[in-house]
Amino acid sequence: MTTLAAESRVRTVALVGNPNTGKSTLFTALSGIHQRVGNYPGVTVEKKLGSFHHAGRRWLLLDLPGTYSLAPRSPDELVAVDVLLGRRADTPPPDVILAVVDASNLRRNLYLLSQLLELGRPVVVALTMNDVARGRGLAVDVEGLAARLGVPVVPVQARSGQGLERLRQILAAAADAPPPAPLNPFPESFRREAASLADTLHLPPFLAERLLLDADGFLAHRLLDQPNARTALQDARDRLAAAGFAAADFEAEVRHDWAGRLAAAVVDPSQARPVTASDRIDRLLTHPVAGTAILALILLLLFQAVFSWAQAPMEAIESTVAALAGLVESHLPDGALRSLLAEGVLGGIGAVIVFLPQILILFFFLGLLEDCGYLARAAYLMDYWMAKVGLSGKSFIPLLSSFACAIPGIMATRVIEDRRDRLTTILIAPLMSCSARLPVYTLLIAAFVPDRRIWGIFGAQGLTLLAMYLVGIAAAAVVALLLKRTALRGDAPAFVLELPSYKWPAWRVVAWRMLERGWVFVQGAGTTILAVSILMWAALYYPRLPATVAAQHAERQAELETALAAAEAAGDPAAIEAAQAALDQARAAAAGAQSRQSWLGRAGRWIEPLVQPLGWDWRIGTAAIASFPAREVVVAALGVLFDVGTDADESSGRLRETLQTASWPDSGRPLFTLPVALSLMVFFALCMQCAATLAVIRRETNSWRWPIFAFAYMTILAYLGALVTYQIATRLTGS
Amino acid sequence: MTELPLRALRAGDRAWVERVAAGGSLVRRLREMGLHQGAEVRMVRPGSPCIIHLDGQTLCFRAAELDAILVRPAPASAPSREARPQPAEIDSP
Repeated sequence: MTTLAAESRVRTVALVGNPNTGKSTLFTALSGIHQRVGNYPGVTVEKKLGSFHHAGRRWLLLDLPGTYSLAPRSPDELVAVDVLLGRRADTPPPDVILAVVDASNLRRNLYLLSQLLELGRPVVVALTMNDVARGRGLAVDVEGLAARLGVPVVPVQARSGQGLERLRQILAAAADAPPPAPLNPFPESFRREAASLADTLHLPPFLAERLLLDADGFLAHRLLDQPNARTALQDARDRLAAAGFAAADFEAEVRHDWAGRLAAAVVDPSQARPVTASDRIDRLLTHPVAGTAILALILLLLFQAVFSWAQAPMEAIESTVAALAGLVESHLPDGALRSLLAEGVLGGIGAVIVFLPQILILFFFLGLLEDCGYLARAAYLMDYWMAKVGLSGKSFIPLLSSFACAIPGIMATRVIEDRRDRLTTILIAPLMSCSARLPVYTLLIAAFVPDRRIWGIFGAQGLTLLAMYLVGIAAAAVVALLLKRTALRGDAPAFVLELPSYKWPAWRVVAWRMLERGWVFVQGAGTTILAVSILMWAALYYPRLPATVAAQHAERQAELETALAAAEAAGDPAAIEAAQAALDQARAAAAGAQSRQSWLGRAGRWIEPLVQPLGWDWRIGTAAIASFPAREVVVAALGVLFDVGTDADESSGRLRETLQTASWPDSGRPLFTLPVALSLMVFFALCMQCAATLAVIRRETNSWRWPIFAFAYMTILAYLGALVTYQIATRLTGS
Repeated sequence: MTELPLRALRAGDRAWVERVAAGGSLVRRLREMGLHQGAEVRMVRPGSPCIIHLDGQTLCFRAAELDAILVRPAPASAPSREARPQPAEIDSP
C-alpha cells in the first residue's frame, strides 16, 4: 500500500487540442464552477485552471490554448510545450495529457496527437464531435483507434455529459499506470540524431527533435546560448541534410502520412457523405455583398441590445451607489472620512461595477456568435479592410466593441493569436469613441455648435458628432500603421482562419465565458480603479480651505438655511424656491472655492501655460486632469469648477449657460468659443482619460509597460489634435 | 495538366497539391493543417483572403504567400475523395 501522503496528492491533467474541437465545452463539463483564469508571467497567454474530485482525490485541470501543432514560433506558443514537458516552475507537470480529438476531422487532429505521443507522458484521448462525424458517414472505430495508438480513447458528448464519468475513471487509471513508450513516426536514423543531440544539450528528446525540425530559429535562439551548442545543432542538421531529411516538408510529410494511414484504418471513407448544410449557409453568409449586409444587420442588433439592455441595470447601479452614498452622508459627521467613503470608495466601486452590464451583455452575444461559428465568417468578411491598416479580420470585432466601451473590446482581443496584432488592437481600441465620450460631446455641441443646416440636409451639430467619431477612427488607422512599422514590426502573421461548421451554441459554455470575463474585469481591474478613485478624491479634497474662509462659507450657508426654514414656515412657494436657489448657489460656491484650492486646482493653474495654446484656461485644464479616472467625469468637474454644483450633467441647462457666459478673468472676453469647444472635444476623442481601460490593458498584457505607453501616446496625440484644431478653427472663424 | 499556383484556381475548381515550396509562417501553418503533397483542395472563394476546402475543413487565408503552393487542377470528371456534386458557387472572379 502506498502512503497516505502520496494517495492524497493532487493530480494534474493538461487539456490539449486543435481549436474548435469542443475543448472548452469539455473543460467546462469536467470542472463545472471550479474554474479560474490567470496569466502565465511574461507572456500574454491565458492560464485557465479547473478542478474536480474523483476517487477521493483532487484533480487539477489545465486548459492549454487551442493549437494545431507543438512547433513553437513565439514565447506564447512555447508556453504549452513547456507546461507539457514540466519545464515551468509556476505550473505542476501534468500527470496525464488529455488530448481532445475531433472525430469529424480525424486526420488533422491526429497530427497534433502524433506530437503529444512523443512526449513520453500518459495520454488519454477524448473523442469529440462523434455525432457530427456519424452524420457525415465518418464514424470512427474507437477500439481500432485505441489499439493502434496504444492509449485509451473515450468518446464523449460533453454537452449532455455522456462519457464523462468513464473519462474520469480512465484518467485515474492512466495517471497510476507507467507512461507508454513514446510513439515516434520518424525514421530510425533521424531519431538517433535527435537522441544524441538531446544528450549533448541536456534537453528533453522532444525539444532536441524540434530544434532539428524548426528552421526558423526561434527555439534555437531561445534554448541555446552557448556557441558550441549551436555548432552541435548545425552539425546534426548538416548530417540529416546529407541523408536527405532536410526538405521543408519533412515533418509534415511524415506526420500526415502516419495520420492518413491511421485514419484510413479506423474510418470507412466509402460511407462519407458531403457536408452540405454549412456550405449552403456559407454561400450566403460569406457572399461579398449579401454576407456583408447580413453582418451589418447582426452588428446593428447586437449594439442595439448592448445599449438598450445595459441602460436599466447601469442606471440601477448608479442610483444604488448614490443611495448608499446618501446613507453614508446622513449617518456620518461632515469630514474627511465621510467624503472619502461617499465619494472616493463608493464612487470607485460604482465606477467598476457600472461597466458590468455592458461587458456581460456584449460577451453573451459575442459568445453566442463565436460558439455557433459565425465570428470566423465576420473576420473573413472584414479581413480585406483590416489588412489595409496592417491588421487582420480578427481585430474587427474587438475594435467594433470598443465603440460601446473599450474594456470589453480589449478583453475580446483574446481571439487574436498573433501577439503583435493583438497588442496593436489593444493600443488603438481606446481611440474608438466609446459611450463615455457622449456626455462630453453632447454638452459641448449643444452649447457651442450652432443648430444650422448645411446644404439643406445635414445638421451642423450631427456632423460635428460624426466628425468626432471619424477623428478617432482616422487616428486609430494611422497609429496602427505606425505601430506595425515600428515598435510592433515583424513578419506578417500566419493569418489562417478555420471556418468551423455551423452548430447550435452550447449555452453553458456561452454563459461561463460571459461570467468569466465579468469576473476577470472586477477582480483584475477593480482594485486599480478603486485606488485611482481614492487618489483623485484626495487630490480634490486636500488641502482644505483656510479655516477663516471655510467659516465664512459655513456662516453664509447657515444664514441661507435659516432663511429657507423661515420661508418654509411661511409656506410661500416663490419664497421657498428663491431661498433654495440661493442656498444651492452658496453651496456650489463653497465647493468651487474648495476645488480651486485643492492640489488638483493648483496643478491646473500650474499647467495653464501648457493648455493656453489649446484655448483653455486653468479651470478647463483642471477639469481635464480631474477626468483621469473616467472621461465623463469632466462634465461634473466643469460643474464644480464653474460653481454650478456637483450634480451637473450634460443635459443641465444651467451648466450650458454658465459655460456660454464664462470669461477670461483678466480681459473679460468669452472663455468658451467654438474653437475652444472643438479643441476640448478633439482632446476627449483622442485622450486616454480612463483608469478602467488602463487597468484592463495592464491585466490583458500582463505588464505596466503597455498601459503607460498607451497613456503617453494618446495624451500627446490628444494634445496635438486639440492644438491643431484650436489654431486652425481660430483662424477660420477669425476670432 | 500543368502546375498552377493555388491562387489561380477559380471558384469551385478542385485540384491536388503538387508541391509546397519553402515559405513563410503561413505556409508552415497550412502544412501542419494538411496542405501537403497529394492533398485535395477546392477553391470556395478566390481572392485575398480566399476560402478553400481542404480535407473536410474550411480554411480562410490571404493569398500573398500562396505562390509557394503549386497545384494540379483536377479534370471535372475526376472522382473526388470528397465525393461532391460540385461546383456551384454564386460568384466568379
